[in-house]
Amino acid sequence: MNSTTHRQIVARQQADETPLVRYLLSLLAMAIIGLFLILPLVAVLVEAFRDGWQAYMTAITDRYTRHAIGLTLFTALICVPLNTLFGVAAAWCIARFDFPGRSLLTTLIDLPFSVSPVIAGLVFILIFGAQGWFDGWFAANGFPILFALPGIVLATMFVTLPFVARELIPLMQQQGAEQEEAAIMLGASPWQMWWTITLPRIKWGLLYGVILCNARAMGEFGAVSVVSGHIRGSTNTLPLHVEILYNEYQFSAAFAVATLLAGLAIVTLIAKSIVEWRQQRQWESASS
Amino acid sequence: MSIHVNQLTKRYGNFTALDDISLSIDDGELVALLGPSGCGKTTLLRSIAGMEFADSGNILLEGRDMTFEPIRHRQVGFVFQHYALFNHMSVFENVAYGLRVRPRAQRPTEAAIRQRVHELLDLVQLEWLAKRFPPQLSGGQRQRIALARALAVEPRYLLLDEPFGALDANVRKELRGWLRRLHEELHVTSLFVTHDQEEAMEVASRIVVMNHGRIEQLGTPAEIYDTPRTPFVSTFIGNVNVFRGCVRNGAFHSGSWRLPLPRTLDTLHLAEQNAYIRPHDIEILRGPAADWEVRIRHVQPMGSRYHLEAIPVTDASAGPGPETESGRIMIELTRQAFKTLALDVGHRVGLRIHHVHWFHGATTLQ
Repeated sequence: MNSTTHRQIVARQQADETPLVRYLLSLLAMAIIGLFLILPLVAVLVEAFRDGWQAYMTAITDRYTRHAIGLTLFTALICVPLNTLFGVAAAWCIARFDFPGRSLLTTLIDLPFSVSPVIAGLVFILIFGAQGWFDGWFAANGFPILFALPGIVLATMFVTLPFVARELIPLMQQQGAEQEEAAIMLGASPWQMWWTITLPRIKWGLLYGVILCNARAMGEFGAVSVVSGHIRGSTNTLPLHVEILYNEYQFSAAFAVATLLAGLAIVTLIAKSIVEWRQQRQWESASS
Repeated sequence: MSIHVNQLTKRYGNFTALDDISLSIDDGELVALLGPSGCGKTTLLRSIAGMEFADSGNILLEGRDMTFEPIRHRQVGFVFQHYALFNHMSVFENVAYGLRVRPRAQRPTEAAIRQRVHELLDLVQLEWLAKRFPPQLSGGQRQRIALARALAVEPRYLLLDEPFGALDANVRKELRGWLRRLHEELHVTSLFVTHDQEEAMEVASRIVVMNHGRIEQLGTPAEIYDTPRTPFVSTFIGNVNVFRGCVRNGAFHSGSWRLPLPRTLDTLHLAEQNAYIRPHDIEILRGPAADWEVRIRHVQPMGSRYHLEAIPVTDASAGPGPETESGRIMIELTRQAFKTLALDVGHRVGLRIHHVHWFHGATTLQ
């Protein structure tokens, strides 16, 4: 449906409702948004600065906070590129080839979305824990997985696995393979085809997936909480650090650190909107 | 730059896309693969290009077996039905693409690429669009750019998959003539797929008629039209009236109507036999000396020609009329003949049959 007819339909539906109903519905929507989205954000900011600017700065420059920031960034730095790679490969396979188990793979990619992150974390405990399948073999041999960086990375990878693939599969299916075939017919190697045709055509969708993947990688709590062990200055990511501070009744410090995550969310939203807008333009030009 | 296809067979599950196809195309020919959708023509084209691999049989290009050679060794230019232009590149870059992706040693200099692209854009008469992007072009312009892009790599073979299928009728007509002239100029061996018999007749020097993964007939447009080898070819190419009937006592009978038979048929007794008669092989007569009598039910002026629909006159004395597939008889007259006869709907006129195609089973009888 193009945007003109869509607008016409919206206009017609608007005309069908009485002004009172329209007014009430809008008010309700705004109330919900205010209550569930704006209010918490404002609360975070208010609480963060309750003890003043000085206390805020102290909280976010604290040694443990800085370590948590570093760990969160480092985890994202490993997980996002790997999941990008995986997502692109999976989307490529699913959108371009027909093979046995294709629909199973499509379903499996969604698994992390449908499983509670806590369960995901517990699965890793079950596999790598002291009483798990490997019976602590890794830890005993000087390469601990649980309550250490590898566990955090694994849990984060699991949780953020679907984002890039989910974004690319419908896009690549909609685009079809014809332009890629044309490139090959013109003598391009598969590698040249990928860099000159495939990637430029999916870049906005890819970026969108990467942004969402990154936001989740940095904000993940449940799965990481189970495998990390909450060792301050060692295995504490930002979301875990917020929880620890809060549990220690350091409310304004907890909220101060939370503003970092809230800031990340806002930056993500802005980046997402820009990419969405670019992508929409590309889709429109592709389908015209 | 000849193409030989030997006993090519391709199946998708239970569906046979290509059934033992053998075909020879000479250097510099412009050949149409014609058939209804699902007849295997696109599969055949993609197999020659190297985008599909057949289950058995082989493909020889210039005498060399290329059945399993990768695409880039075949030196084939391919034009897609939906253009497949690179939307994120300018027209210029689209045409230059095939030159830019060459290995460094074979890649022309930037100046040479520039010159080549401008020559090609000149050839397709779209030089002025070089800086535009494909979404800004009309369908006809896009397909011409796609052709220029395919020609940029100097292919030995040009394969076109329903090249005008997505275009408006008048643009399609214009591009047909243009493609034929271009071929006369370049003489690159070309093979194009179409389901439009008019397009095949107008553009190709030879036509391959396909149905159900088999070749029904291969010949010049005139051969295919004048001497169809199978009932399918006769009904698929041009219009035809199919009269159902039988053969007895040395004549063809359809209802109360009779037709003399060619010598090869008249000794047979056949319970079922069809007569295939082209609308323009029927002459309309005023008065006697006619084979059959009909009443005109519909007149459709088509410009230089008139299409008429008539139904058999069924008198008590004449007995039941003939049996046709639509119940009506299609007749085609020149404008001149129509005016001279001063015909109109409701008129009762005589018909004389000038030519009939007879088929025995699936083969033709002369």
